[in-house]
Amino acid sequence: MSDVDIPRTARLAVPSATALRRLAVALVAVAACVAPFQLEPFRVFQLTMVLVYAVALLGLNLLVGHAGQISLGHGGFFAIGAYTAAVMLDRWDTPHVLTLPAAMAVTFALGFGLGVPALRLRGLYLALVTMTIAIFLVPLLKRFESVTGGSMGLTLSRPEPPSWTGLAEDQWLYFLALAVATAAGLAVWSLLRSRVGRALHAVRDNEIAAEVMGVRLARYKTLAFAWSAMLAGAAGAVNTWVIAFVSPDSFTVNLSILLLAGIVVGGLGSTFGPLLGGAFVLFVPTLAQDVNQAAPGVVFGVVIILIMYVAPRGLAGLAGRGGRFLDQALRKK
Amino acid sequence: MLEVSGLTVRFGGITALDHVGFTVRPGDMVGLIGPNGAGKTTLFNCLTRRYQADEGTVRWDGADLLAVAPHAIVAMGIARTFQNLGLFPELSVRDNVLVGAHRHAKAGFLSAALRLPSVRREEAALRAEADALLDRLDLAAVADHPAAGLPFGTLKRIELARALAARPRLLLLDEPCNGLSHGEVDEFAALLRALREERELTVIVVEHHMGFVMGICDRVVCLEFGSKIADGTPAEVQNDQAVRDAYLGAAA
Repeated sequence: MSDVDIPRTARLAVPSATALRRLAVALVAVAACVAPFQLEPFRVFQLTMVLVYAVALLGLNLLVGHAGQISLGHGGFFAIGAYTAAVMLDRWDTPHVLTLPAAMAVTFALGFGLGVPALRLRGLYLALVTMTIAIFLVPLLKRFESVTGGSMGLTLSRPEPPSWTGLAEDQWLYFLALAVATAAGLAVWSLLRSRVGRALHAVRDNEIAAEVMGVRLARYKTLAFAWSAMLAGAAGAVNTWVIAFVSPDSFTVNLSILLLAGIVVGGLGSTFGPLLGGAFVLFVPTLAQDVNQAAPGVVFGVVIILIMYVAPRGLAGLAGRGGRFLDQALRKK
Repeated sequence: MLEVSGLTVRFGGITALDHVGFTVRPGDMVGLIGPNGAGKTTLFNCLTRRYQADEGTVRWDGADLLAVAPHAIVAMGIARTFQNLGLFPELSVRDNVLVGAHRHAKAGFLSAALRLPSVRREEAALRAEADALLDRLDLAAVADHPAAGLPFGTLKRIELARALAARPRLLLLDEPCNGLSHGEVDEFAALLRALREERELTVIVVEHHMGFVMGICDRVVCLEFGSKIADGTPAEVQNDQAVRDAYLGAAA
């Protein structure tokens, strides 16, 4: 209550925290729309991939950050989404846009199925079981060669920009990814600010009390798992559009671990954690490669340790702290 | 009306509740007392289906409570608070209370993600109700604060608000005065009395603070080592020899 004595006019001059936040969101939105026209195609491709990973991390954040469970298998759901889209394109020449709901449906069903055994497990045990999804998948994809293309993978077509847009292919792909990411982001945002989001948080914070208040634990946990898997699957489908190629070796256990690292670094349970985490997943491994070709893993590890040391609540937590600092600095003047 | 009869719970070789029986009439405020380990919280955990009863029956409004799933207890009109607080520390105070209203809303994953108009309407109604409750319990000032880090007495009130948000007919309070100062206990007693009138509550309260129990309850049930040793008006129970022996020890 230290600001009680500040005259009203002085307070009005300083934008409120919500206004600052809205301004930041608006700036990001404008930048997101302008960026593909200002950058060279390779950079546009990189941003597209950041958005793809951000969608997967939205799902992982829902599960880990909000529902308090863990998954080392999201690379697997990502892969299943990617392959669902790829097989549809390869076999039946399905229009690209239809592969997205199909990939989401498949991963939702699988996530729901896996959510049931997950009910009995938590912590490290759940991590281990979910990791088996990622481990099993690679040999499985190689085995069913007639459908999946085996080790060689499948090479596919990219969605073509409609001529009325006048966009280049990379720009069109970018806007497709942006549309999916925005829709997914808004859906998760609305979900979390509802009865469902509160119930998930309640389960995360105190299961017993949540159940006493009428939250059906099993239902919320399995559905959180299913929705989380579905978002990873959606990301996988868009990944297929963008890369136009799938192969088992793009989806090893490493991807699952990288995704989990991405959301922890981005900021568990935060609104923009998935986006920041997406940037981390895309840029840091390549950065590590550039810094030291012999031991990129070491550089990667050091970067994670540094970020977690400076920002224990992830990059989003750091940004939040920066925002509050700015806010206070503005108010003091 | 709550009818507990022959309720028995065993943990291995220990009998935590031994054929306990009593009835609570609508509108009653019943105090449940007894030394530590007497089985008071175990009894609450049976009523809310956290523990499985080995024998006995619990009937609430004619329904068999022991056949109800734990999450469905609140839909029967029964809400509780916890001895060591069962709040959601990272949620705001308002959201804690809104979780209490969980059963009064319908929004599912899909309708919430799409922000359907029905969900928005429902959410607005829930918020209005929660804010009224927060006002009533003097919590409006901390509504947006996370539950973690608030003073203990405030946390106790938040938990009460959350239980009330479920619009219960039967309220189970587990040591609501534990950790409160003298003044706070008196305030809480006055608040509880008023709320009971306003909301037509039936209350069972586990409490060690005898001044509070004897001052506010219509009836007192005393447990010792899992058995009921007394059941009557506060005055009767206070003068009961078995109760005195339980608390002070029998003369050698």
